[in-house]
Amino acid sequence: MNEIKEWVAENIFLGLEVKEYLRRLITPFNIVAAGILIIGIPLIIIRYMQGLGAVIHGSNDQPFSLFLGWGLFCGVPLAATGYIMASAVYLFGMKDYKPLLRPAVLTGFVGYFFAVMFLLVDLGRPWRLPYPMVRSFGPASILFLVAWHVALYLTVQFVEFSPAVFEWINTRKLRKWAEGIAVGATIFGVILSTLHQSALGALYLLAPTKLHPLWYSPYLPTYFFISSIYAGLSMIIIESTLIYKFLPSRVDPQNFKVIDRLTLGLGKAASFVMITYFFLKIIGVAHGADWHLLFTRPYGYQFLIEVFGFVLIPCFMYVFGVRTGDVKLIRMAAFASVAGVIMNRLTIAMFALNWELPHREFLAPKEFLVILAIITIEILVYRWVVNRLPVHRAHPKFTHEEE
Amino acid sequence: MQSLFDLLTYTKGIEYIIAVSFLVVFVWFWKFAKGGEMVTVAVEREERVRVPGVLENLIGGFLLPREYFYHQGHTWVKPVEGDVVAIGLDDFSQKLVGRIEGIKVPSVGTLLKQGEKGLSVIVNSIPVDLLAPVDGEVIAVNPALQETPGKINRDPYGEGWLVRVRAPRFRANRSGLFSGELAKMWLDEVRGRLMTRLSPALGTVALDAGPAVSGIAERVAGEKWNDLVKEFLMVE
Repeated sequence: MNEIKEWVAENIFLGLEVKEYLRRLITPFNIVAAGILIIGIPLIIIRYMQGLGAVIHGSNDQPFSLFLGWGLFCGVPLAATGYIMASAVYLFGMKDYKPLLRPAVLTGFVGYFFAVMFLLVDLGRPWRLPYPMVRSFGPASILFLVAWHVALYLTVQFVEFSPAVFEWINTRKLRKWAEGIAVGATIFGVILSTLHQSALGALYLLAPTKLHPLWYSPYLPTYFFISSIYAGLSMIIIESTLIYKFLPSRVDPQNFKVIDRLTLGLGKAASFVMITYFFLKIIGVAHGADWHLLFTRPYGYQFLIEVFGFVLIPCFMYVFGVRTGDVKLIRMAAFASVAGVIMNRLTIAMFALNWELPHREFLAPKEFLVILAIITIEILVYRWVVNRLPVHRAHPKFTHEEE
Repeated sequence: MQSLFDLLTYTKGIEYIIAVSFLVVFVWFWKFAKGGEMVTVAVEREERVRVPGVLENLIGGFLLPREYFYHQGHTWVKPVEGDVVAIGLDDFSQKLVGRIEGIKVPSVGTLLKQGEKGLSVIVNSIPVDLLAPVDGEVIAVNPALQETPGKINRDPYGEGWLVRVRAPRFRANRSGLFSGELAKMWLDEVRGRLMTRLSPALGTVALDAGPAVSGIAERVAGEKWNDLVKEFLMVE
């Protein structure tokens, strides 16, 4: 009993007295977060009591609205970090990148988990969550695919992250087992990621007449998959930048010495992917013979801004950063690239869908607040884990068991 | 022209043209991205061979050019003109500390005393003290190091010099410095002492042939690298 108490004090309350722990929770960031949650959580409860329409602005014309446009269509590519880093380290043997493996897998896991949260709020009736697995498959529904993919991939990501959890709860056997199946889990994870990253794009193959021709393309699944690669790479750069800046005490001091070099490596990889993606986008325009739409307002210009301003320019920022060893430039490029992917997904999920309808509204305050609340919870969860589990550092008891 | 464009569009020719131009651009892009690295490697190699007769000057993986005088705190002295000498870090110390991020040297006019602290370099944001190899007055600080302290790592005996000193007592100071065969024996002994600290798991830290790698202290002692540096640079 005493052991458990000690463990809780050390690993949950960070070795602080409960009073002291609670006192330290009062920070400007936490106060803002609490404010958002005080408004947001009741709105989520209202959604379950009065139905989706009470808080979410979706309609037949805007089936995804900002809610899933952000939660699912942006959340999933930005959570591509896990499969990117796991395949780099386990499949391509790039062991140098190990310091970024756990953070990347955690970002992926938390990202997917909250994509599911968004879906759960959107779908309602959470107790029916296991239906597609046990009760009624419903293979004709797109949700059948979503349910299985997400369930399997969440499991895979948990397995990939579990060594950190097992170190945290100090169980050597389970940790060894989890490390042992890491390669298998990674391969399975890559297959699943390839499928569902592209599946989100494939969803729009059903709607060639609804989506603006500049964004509609038979290559949509490929676009979604390829852009998820550089989104993932950029997110790893952003995540490490933020954690190294705001939670340096949770990072192994050794990692500070290699992070710049690793960031340059990630930037280089991202630049190669982005130049490829850029040309594929141009081929898409050629394939649809949509040249005449490029200089139309507003969609043509929006497309140009997206492809040149948020793909080609960050791509060159990356490559110049790599050449000159300018890590700051690489970090800026990462933010720009992620902004580009968000812009692309929101455009496809919202703005460019049913673009010919005369009157459309995108922003609904309640919906925005619910989204903000879920993002806040996501950040809090992420921070909670990084503060406790060996994510950016090795667990002192397991330091010698690496490799 | 319009009809050619139409023809290319209808026959998908334009897509092939874009795809082929992508391949050309990608090759260029790839070279461009890799270019930066190749230049650095080339520069490093070039600067390594700048020291004359590298091989005979290589003692246990560390460069030890003949025409220099060495202090046991791993700084070197080279007479420049009259009683003016140049001072710098020897190859052993620059490899021991690893990447040098900056220098902290006394301003012109300051007096240095042989065997006492007076110069330092910044490594991992920490100043690492060095012992002055001679008595004298600082008359110049290497201006290039303010911008590119990495020159010390790249060319410790050439462009990486730290300060110029007017050393009227250089003749007397020479008795406290190693040179020639004595310097070789001394460095060999130091290297032996370092070898005893290496664990086999460390991999190629010091090779028997060829130059040793950089940042030895950190590889050997991890977080306690500074203690190891202090011990070997004799500034405890």
